[in-house]
Amino acid sequence: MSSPMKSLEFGVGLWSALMGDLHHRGQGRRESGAFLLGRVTDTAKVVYDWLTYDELDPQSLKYPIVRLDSSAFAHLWEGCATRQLEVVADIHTHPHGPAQSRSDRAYPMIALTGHIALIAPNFARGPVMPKDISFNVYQGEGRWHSYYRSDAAALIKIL
Amino acid sequence: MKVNVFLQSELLRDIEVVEIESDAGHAKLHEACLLKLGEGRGEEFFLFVEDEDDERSFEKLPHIPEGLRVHLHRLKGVDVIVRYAGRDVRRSFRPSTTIGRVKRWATEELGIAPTDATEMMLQVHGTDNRPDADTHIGTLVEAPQHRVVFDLVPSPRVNG
Repeated sequence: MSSPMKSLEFGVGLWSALMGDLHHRGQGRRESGAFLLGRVTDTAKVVYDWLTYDELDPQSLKYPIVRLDSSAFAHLWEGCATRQLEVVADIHTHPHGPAQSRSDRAYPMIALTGHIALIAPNFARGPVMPKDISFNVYQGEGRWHSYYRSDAAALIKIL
Repeated sequence: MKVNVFLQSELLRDIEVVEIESDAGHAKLHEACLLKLGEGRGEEFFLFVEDEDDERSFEKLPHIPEGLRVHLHRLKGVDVIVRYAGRDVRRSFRPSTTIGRVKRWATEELGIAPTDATEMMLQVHGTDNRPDADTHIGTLVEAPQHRVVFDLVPSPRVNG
């Protein structure tokens, strides 16, 4: 029997602050994204902080879609080490719906089995609720499991 | 019959070619390799075969094969740390270990599928240097320094 999937937990205020930051950085015109940093417990992946794609790679906001250079990841690992946190998920915005695009599926930001990639619709124009998000779990070798609406909301806990 | 041996070292910028008789033996090969470092090297240097952990692997060779790849280093081991997504994996390797082998080990330790690993590279921490797969890690560590830290980074990511 496979182990139950870990939920993604956000502290009070963190969720809405994250959505506000993503919307602000994309200015409602382009996609933006972030890596969610936290700790993994027996039952959950707990988010404590985030680093946006444009903080890691200032060039990433030059494109209407998300593009991250390889060197951004070395900066990200340094950010993890400084905070003593690990990458527990990533998130990026879409102009319309939350379903993964072909490139989203082909280019996992983190290629670890069980890594969570969230997609926020409407450039994260608020308010964005967990049920609006797609919750995509990487299975390795280009395969994903995706959850939407109530299934996604059940996996995102705002405490 | 003369053969070509390819030498890397902490003190060489590029791969040197050592021409030697195939039946010369380990001691003469060691001597010929030391000459490539220049005169007056008083310290002890160890000679290793590429990607071999066994210090005495030369004894298993009936003769020096054409294209043998070796490494000269003052250290017998280099401590390697690979960072990925906030996780570190670490172990000690011979200086003659290739970047390709270190990457295979690190991605396996981290649980990254082989097909996903093909899109990843090791970058020397704090630099933009992404050494080729056949580079020996000993070339990145000059004694008494004995540690090298890599960031495992993917090819550019596009999400749309």
